[in-house]
Order: sequence, then C-alpha cells, then structure tokens
Amino acid sequence: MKYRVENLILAHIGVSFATLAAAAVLGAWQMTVRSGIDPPFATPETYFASVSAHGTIMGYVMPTLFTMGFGYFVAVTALDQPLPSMRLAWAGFWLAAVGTVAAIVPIVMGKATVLYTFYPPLTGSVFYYLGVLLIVVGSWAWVALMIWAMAIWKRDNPGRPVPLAMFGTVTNAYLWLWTTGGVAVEIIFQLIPASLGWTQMIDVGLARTLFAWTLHPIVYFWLLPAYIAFYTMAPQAAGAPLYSDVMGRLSFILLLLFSLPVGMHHLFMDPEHGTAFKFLQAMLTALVVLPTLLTIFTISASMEIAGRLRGGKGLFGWIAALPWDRPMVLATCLSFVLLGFGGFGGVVNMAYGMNAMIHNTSWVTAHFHLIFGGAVVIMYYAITYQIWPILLGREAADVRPLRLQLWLWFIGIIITTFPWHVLGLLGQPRRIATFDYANPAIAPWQPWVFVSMFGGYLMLASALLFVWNIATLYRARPVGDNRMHYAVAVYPPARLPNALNGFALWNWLVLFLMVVAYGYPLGQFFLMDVYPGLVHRVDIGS
Amino acid sequence: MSTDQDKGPPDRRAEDRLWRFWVSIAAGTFVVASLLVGLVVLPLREEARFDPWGAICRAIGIRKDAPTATGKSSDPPASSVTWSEGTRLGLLAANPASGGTIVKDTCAACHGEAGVSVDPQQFPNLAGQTQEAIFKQLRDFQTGARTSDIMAPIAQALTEAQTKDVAAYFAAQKPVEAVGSSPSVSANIVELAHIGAPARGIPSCYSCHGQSRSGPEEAPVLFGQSASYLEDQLKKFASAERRNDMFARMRTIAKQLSPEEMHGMAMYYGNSRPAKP
Amino acid sequence: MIAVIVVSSFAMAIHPPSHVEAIDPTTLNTNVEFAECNLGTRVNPDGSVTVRIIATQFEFLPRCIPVPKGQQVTFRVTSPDVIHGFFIAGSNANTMVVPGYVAQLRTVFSTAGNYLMPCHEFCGLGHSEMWALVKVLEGAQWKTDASGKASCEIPR
Repeated sequence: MKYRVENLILAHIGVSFATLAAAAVLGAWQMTVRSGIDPPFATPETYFASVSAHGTIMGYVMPTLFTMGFGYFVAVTALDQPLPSMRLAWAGFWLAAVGTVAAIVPIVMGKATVLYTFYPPLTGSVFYYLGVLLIVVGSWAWVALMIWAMAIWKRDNPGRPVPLAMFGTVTNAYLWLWTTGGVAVEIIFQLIPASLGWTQMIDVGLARTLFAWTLHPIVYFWLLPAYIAFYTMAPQAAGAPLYSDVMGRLSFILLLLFSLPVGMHHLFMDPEHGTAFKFLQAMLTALVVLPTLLTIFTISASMEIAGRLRGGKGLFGWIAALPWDRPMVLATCLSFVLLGFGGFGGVVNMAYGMNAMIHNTSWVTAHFHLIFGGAVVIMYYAITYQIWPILLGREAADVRPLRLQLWLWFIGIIITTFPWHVLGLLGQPRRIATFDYANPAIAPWQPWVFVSMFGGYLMLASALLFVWNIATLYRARPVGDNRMHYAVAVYPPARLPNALNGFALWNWLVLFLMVVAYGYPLGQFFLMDVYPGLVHRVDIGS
Repeated sequence: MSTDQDKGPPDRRAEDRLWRFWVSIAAGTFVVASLLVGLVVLPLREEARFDPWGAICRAIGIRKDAPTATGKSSDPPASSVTWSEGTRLGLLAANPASGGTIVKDTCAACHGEAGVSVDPQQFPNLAGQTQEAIFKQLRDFQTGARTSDIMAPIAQALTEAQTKDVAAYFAAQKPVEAVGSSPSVSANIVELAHIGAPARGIPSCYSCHGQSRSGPEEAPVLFGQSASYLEDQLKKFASAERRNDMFARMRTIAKQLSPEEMHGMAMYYGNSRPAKP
Repeated sequence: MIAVIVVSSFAMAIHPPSHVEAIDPTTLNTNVEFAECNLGTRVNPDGSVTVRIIATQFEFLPRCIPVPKGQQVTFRVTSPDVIHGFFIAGSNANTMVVPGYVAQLRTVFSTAGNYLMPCHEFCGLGHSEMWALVKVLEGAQWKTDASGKASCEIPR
C-alpha cells in the first residue's frame, strides 16, 4: 500500500476489535445473569461493573477507534495522498489507547460502577472520566487530520468534487466534533471537579441535558462508516456503479443536520424540561427518516443495476442474480434488514407520546442493539473483511467462514433483540441484574430472557469467529494488486455547488439549529432556581 | 468555517447565495412551525381557558400554580441531619486532633480512646467507622431522633463542630482487627449479604454497607461490631423502636427479616471482616 | 408519522411528563410535603387522589401503593440522593426521578390488579431490588382512613 499507513490503521482497528471481543464476553455473561441462571461471579457489584465496562467499550472505545482507522484508510486511498501528519495521527492513537486503559482499570477495580452514561450525582474514580476524555481528545486529532486532508486535496484539485467516501468521512469528523461538545463540557466542568473533590454539589439537570446533546449524535457517528460503505463499497462489491453521487452527499449532510439538535428525545420522561423543546426536538428527530430513505432507495437502485448487469430479469430476478457470496453484498443486505427493524423500534422511542410506554425498558436496549450492534457492527465486519486484505497484501482463499460469521451475527442479534422488544412491552426494565422469576407477575418474562441469552451466545461465537477469520488472514496467500477501488456513480459529477462539496453552510446551519434547540433548555438551568444534588461518590471507602 | 469554501467565479457565488437562501427558508420554516405547535398550540389545548402567555410559560416549564404542600407533618423527621454542601464541607474541615481531646475526656470510658470499645455488646466500636455515620448518630442523639439515656446528655454537651471533630477522629483510627474467621453461617445469609433478595425487595447489605459505599451517606461500616449489638439494632429497627433511619430505609428492610435471618446477619458481620462469597 | 404524533398530542393531550418543579433534594428529609407521614396515597378534600413517593437508595417509600380504579391519580415523586426511575409496568406511567425536581404525572388505571413498579434507572448496587407494588382497587376494597389516607401491605 502507498504512503505507509498500514500499521496506523491496523493498530486502530485491531485495538477496536480486541475490545469488542472482550465486551462480547461480558455481554453474554450479563444475559446469563439476567436469565436467572447463577453464573460464576454474579453479584450486583460484578454485574454493574460489567455493564459499565460493556457500555464504555462499545460506546466510546470500539466504534471510535474503528471510525478513526477507517477514516485514515479512506483519506489515503480515496484522495490518493499521504496523511497531513503521521505524528499527529499516532499521537491521537496513543491518547485513545492510554485513555482506554485508564477508563477500564477503575471499572475492573469497582471504582467506576456508574455505567457508561455516568449520570451524576453518582460519581466514580477520576481516572475513569479522564480516560474517556483522553479517548475523545485522541479522536479530535483524527477530526483535525480529516478536515486538514480534505483542505489539502481541495487546494490541489480546485473545482473538482471531493471523492464521496472522503466527503462522508469529513461529514463524520464535523459531526463528531459537534457531538463531543456536550459530553466534553460535562466531563471537564462537572464530573472531573466532582470526582476530584473540588466540588460537592452538581447540577443534575444540566448534566443530563449535556449528556443528551452527545448521546444521540454519537450513534450517527458510529453509523456513518456503515453509510460510507453502503455508498462507496457495496455497489462496487456487487459489480455496479453507484446510482447517484449527489444522493450520497445529501444523505451525509442530512445525517449531520438531524443527528445533533435532537438529543432531548432521550429526556422525554425527564422532569427538568418543559414540553415545548421536547416537542421541537421530537419533530427534528423525525426528519432523520429522510437520509435513511434516500440511502435505502439509492443503494437498492445500485444493487438493481448490479443484478441486471449480471443477467437478472423480471421484477425481482435481479435480487437472485446478485453476488451473494461476497461478504460486502451480504452484509449490506443484512444490515438493511436490521436497520429496518431497528428503525421501527426507534420510531416508537422518538414518538413524543408513545415513549412513556417503553422508556428505560428492554425495548430501548433492543432498539440500539439492533441499530448499532446489528446494522452498524455487521458493516464494520464487512469493511474490515474488505480493507484488512488490502492492508496486509493477502487474501482469504475461502470466504465461507466470513459469510458464516456474518450470518451468525445477524441471527444472533435478531434472537437477542426480538425478545427484548416483547419484554419491553411487558414492562421489563433495563439495567437490572436479577429478577424474581418466582413472582407470577414476572414469570412470563423468563422464557423470553432465555431465548435472548441464546442469541447473546451466538453473537459471542460470531465475534470470536471474526477474530479467527482476521487472524488466519496473516497466513493467507499474498496478492499482487491490493489497491482500493471505490464505487463511482453512473454519472460522476464533473462539478458540484460549494454546498455539496464543503461544509461551511452546513456548519452554520447546525449552529443555528443547536442554538434554537438547546439554547433555552441549557440556559434555563442558569435562569431558574435549581437545586443541585450532593455528589455521590462510589469510589471511596476502605 | 469558511476556510474550506472555494472562492470561485461570480456564478459560483450566485449559486452559493441560492443555496443559502433556500436552506435558510426551509430550516426557518420548519423550526418556526414546530415551535409554534410545541410552544403555543399544544399547551393551549391543555387548559380550558384561553391564555396564550400562560401556555407558553407552562410549555417551557415556568409555572405560577406551583402546588403548595398539603397537610402538616405531625411527626418530627426521622433525622434532621441534612446531607447538604454545608454538612459535607464541615466534615471535610473537621479537626481530628481536637476531636481526640474531646474523645479522651468524654467518649474513651466506654468506646475506648482508640475507638475500641470496652464492652462491644453495649457500646459499638467506633475505630474506622465512617465520619458521616458517627456524625449523623451524634446529631440524632442531640436532637432526640435516636434515644439513649446515656448518649443524649453527652451528645448535647457538644457543639456541631465538635461532633464533626469527634467523628473525624474516630474515622481516622485503625479499624478493629478481625477476630477469628467468619463464623459459619448458612449460604442464604451470605447470599442475602452479597446479592440481596429481589423477591422481597431487600438489597444486599453490601450495596450500602460495603466497601464501595455506593449507598446512602450515613450507612455505617458493619464489620468489627459485636454480633449481639448488631442483632439488637436490627430488632429495634424492625419494631420501629429505633427510627432515626432516614426515609425508613432500615425499618423497611429489618421488618422483612425473620428472627433467624437477623441473627444470621449479625453473626456474619459481627466481630469479623465479612469474607467475599 | 409526524402528523400522527402532532394530532394525537393535540387531540388526546398526550404529553410526556414535563412538570418542571424544583425542590431541594438535600433537605428532603425535613420537607413538610414529603414528610414520612404525608407519603403514600391520600384522597384530598376535593376528592382528587394524590400519591406522594420518595425514591431513595434503595427503596420506594411507601413500598405498597393502593390506588382506586377508574379515577385520575396524581403521582408526585422525588429523590433525595441520585437519579431513580418511576415506572408502573404494564401502564404508561413512566418518568425519571431526578434529584432537585418533583416528577409529577397523572394517570387513570382501568384494570384492577397488582402492578409492579420497578426502579428503571441505575441508582447503585441495590438497584435491582428496588421496586414497589401498585394495587389498583375497586369497589369496597378501596378505602381510606378518616384523614383520607390509604395504605396497604405487600403480602409476604
């Protein structure tokens, strides 16, 4: 590969999946505890420490490192130029790596059992918050590099459209910069002073609102690599051009716009906000169906072109004609199915009126595991299957284990999350270690929990098979040509308006929407009489 | 933000203006319409009277009709200690050395100069007990929230600052050494202590009295006490003879324990460090 | 979809609980409205029913909550320590309990029976054991004492 970035990318994605494997083990163990079987080491202390670790890894470590690594890959291959600064990139990696260790160690010691949403007044060890902050700061290095790389390319290629894959990656960089604002302010100004003992009181409503600012767009940050793969890798793998390049750009821009001023739908059930801004943000949340539908339409159209090019006939014949043996094609289809189911659950969550039925029940857990654990992570696997051979210059002789792994994950996530939806409607709360299944009111839950536990073990098996698949690549046969080819549109745009080739307009619009959507909800804590709560340390004692 | 903007030829700038115009119109219309519905239309529907200003205020959480407390509290509060910023800062500022002087004169005869009780069955060991727990009990003896013929006059002779100093002194002492090994108690007692009983809504003892201190501020450390003292206190909570536990936390739990369980718990924690399960 | 939400919000006055009322969590144990003897179910002089609950580590006080069937009930819940969750499983009574605020919601129970009321937000190591029972009573089963207070016991 050109520009010697292999090790940088391998390090990011390698650490990302190593932590994923560990968190998958914890996930399966947690399911076992909830099922009523008493697995070894099950106490409230270990269970909630495990939930904290699982959430911290899957929320902050795994997707961040993956997205960084994938972003470097795209910047180098799509722009065909070196990274602006390898030193900065490695510095970002080491910050994130040290942050990961600093965050995980206190959790393992039982000094940061506050769950990854760290809702104060519960306050854990300062090292936990510093660790998460370091991960975020490390990722800011990546943000800077992506924006910088695109600026260099535009300087060298005036008037030409930025390649779609890079446009999506830089969208994600800006998205992430906006996203991390809320949680960074919460950590720096509220949590770290509290965990150091500098402050004794904490404004709980403010902390929750700042966290909500981050909590929703962070999911779109996780999601965007999958969308980039939909647009620029899946059609290529299927053997067809992309149906429309402009659709892709519009989708990325709309995702940036409608992921940010919407986080208060996580606070529908909160007593510290009035209805007006909850309603506004509910409306803005609903707009996210636009980029989703655009994407499903464009990718389906691209796939139809591919199927027909391969001789598929009739209304649905093209589907059968697609090259299903290729992991990227298979994963894209499976991901769409999961996105569909997950989206359905999400519509209920974001519905201003229906949320009360399922808020903080297993329904919510089911929703985000379907979207993130399902639709997104399955694309992370497919992306890795595509780029890891390029990084190593080696190619798997047999892709059957790869397909098996994707199917296992797909079936596993369905078996895990479908029962959770049912349980949510039955009223099972999330984040509880033990249930009294002897209680007739709860007894009907247990069969569903058992089924979902089985799904959890399928996912664990799939995650381990993935690690195995990647490991065997190191002994696979070398290939000569290991260049990356992205899908090109049927009609590649020769020139684009600035609005579709840059972010100035959109960043201003995000700023406007954020001020409207969060100005009062955040400002009210400084205008009203509010009573802060006493910081509640969980990391002290003998 | 304008750094990545191409400064192109005039037709580009016209194109940019067009984008800016339509994007602003679209976003502005949507936001204004949503706010109009969320801020005015929906809240207006809630009240019979037409009062747009009141509706807007309600929608952003400003209400003039804040409900007032109904009824009077006939009983004194379980404890009048408040876990506020002032209390915590006072505890942090306490002086263990001056607490030690008071202990020597006032407490040592029963609780021992280093907090090791002369008769643990009657007087609890205070060495290594948390500052919050000792302070809270002393204040409760002062106010009568916890009754004791011996402790009431002693506590009443102390100022609030002195109670904090005394608490700081005892908290800094070396905890009582483990006496022998954990007495053998049945498995269900160990489970109750470390896992709890979800069926009965009893959290594990460990979740408040354990090392990680994730529970209420005033929850004391239990190991190092005499088993009979612990059992006695559990019984008093169960019968509500002792009722200085805030929000009836211990009364609620103790009421649900059988006499055998209370005895087992007391044996498990009494005089030894509880073993991990 | 959006239209459905807007119309239903308007027509049925469906709103998420958004009663912004501040209260000092650090002095809650000396607060008159939430004093121990004022907690639980109470029929007010005008006949309306109010239930006051404290959610604290790791219990709801009171743990057993009787309510009448078919009549609007106002719940007022608050916390002195950390964030808790209030949820009556099988109904749409659902709110976060955030220290510093009184979470208030109104609901009508149309079916008699026992409803589980678990804490649905992580509040510490005893979180899993934190639940209460809501008993929806009808007819003669629903009764109050002279002061308008109703109470019940969880069967062992």
